[in-house]
Amino acid sequence: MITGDLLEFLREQESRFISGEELSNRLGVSRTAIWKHIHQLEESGYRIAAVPHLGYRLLESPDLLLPDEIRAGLKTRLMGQRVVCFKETTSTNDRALELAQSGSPEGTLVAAESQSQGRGRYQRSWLSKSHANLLFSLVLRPPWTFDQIPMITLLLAVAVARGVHEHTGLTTRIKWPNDILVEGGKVCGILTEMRTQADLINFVICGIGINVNTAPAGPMKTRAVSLAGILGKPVTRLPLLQKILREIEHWYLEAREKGLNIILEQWPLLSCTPPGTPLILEIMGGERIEGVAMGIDETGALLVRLESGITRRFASGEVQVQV
Amino acid sequence: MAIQGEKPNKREAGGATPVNLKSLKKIVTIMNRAQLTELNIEQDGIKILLRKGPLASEGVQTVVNSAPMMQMAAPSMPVAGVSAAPVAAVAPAVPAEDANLYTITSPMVGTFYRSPAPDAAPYASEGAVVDQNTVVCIIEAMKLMNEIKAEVRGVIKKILVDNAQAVEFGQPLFLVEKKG
Repeated sequence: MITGDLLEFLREQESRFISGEELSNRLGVSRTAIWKHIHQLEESGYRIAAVPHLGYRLLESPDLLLPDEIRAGLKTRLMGQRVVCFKETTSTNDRALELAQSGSPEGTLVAAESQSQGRGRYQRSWLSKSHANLLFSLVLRPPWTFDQIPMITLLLAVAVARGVHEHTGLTTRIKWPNDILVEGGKVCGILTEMRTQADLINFVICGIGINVNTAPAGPMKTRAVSLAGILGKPVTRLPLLQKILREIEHWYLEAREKGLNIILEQWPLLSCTPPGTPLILEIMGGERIEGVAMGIDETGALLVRLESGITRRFASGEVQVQV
Repeated sequence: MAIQGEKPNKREAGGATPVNLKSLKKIVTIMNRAQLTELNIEQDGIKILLRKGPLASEGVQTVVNSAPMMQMAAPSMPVAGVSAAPVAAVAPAVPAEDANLYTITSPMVGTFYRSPAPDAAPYASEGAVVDQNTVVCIIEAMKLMNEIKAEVRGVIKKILVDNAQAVEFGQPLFLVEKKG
């Protein structure tokens, strides 16, 4: 972990130089070793000034998903306190599942620059250009029951919608249960997987994919857009990720303490289908249900008033907003 | 199912029986996990014997077999999504007098998937050999994917729900013929 400590010392200096000798004393390694680690940092995308007699100074950190970058200034108790990063992996959910199974603590974050088998619900493939977007998964060990647990997907949507808004200023809306829309296009998908034993919930893996700088290609029911595409300029990923992690932590800890009802209070502020909105719900098996949105019930299930006047609740389905 | 006040086990609790169904279910779970075949409990003058398979001891007041008890928790309405209308009283579902049959039930309201993807092979077909850790299906609710395990060693005797159908809390999904 010398590279990590080295980076921390460089950051502490801010705009000042720190000599190779001081670094070698503080880290207990030779000056040649320091030079090698500086070189490694440069290879991972850091820009470091090296001036004879003055030493080293950090000029610029890359907007890369690296554990040290994600943790620097993160200020969370749980989320991202342990970080595992991949340049490429099959899917961050796969890695997070393995980590959770081997006992990784709650809040463990897995991030990847690209996924070879990114997936949506029912393993619909979800591809993303490398180094452009945010692809990450969190390990959670929530105390909730089977009745309550699906609401966690709404909690994540609320947190991401707020984090994206905070970072970009864009108006974000949630399409039930947990797609994030900006200007009617999808910028974020969330896929949550749970592992149980009898009637106990062992852990939950929350997989989140955000189209930060490019929108993925491929057939989609809802048009995919990227934050950069809408803003007309590139968006830095690290501060966005940190804001989202802080939001997730905030709502998760609040919900653990005060109950999941706090998410229900946020819902009307963020839903793209406020009561009265006409919608079509496509349920698995292909049936299309036309009706009018009536909000959600206390479990987070979608309420739809049918033409017959009867209101039904749905725990699954794909919402299409009529235009 | 997860509608307020309509959970079958809540309706059962505090009824004519002094022992509530929820705590019984917990005990059954513990029994299954510890692979016990028989459990005697005596508290406040009530004696309960829980057993799986043939009765090993005699002279007890109440006999509750774990399989039919789980059946009782099954609601009678396997309706898509659930209507707002009140749910009918608990009905005994699926024949399972056979103590050797284990019913895998849905732990939550959601959609039942037999395979991990539309074009993938199903997790378990009728006749498949399963053990405690074999994944038999996925129940999805609000994009939360929940892998359901067989929880027992045996052979899948019958699949009770079609792929991509809505299921309710406690709804029977599979009948498993228990083996060793």
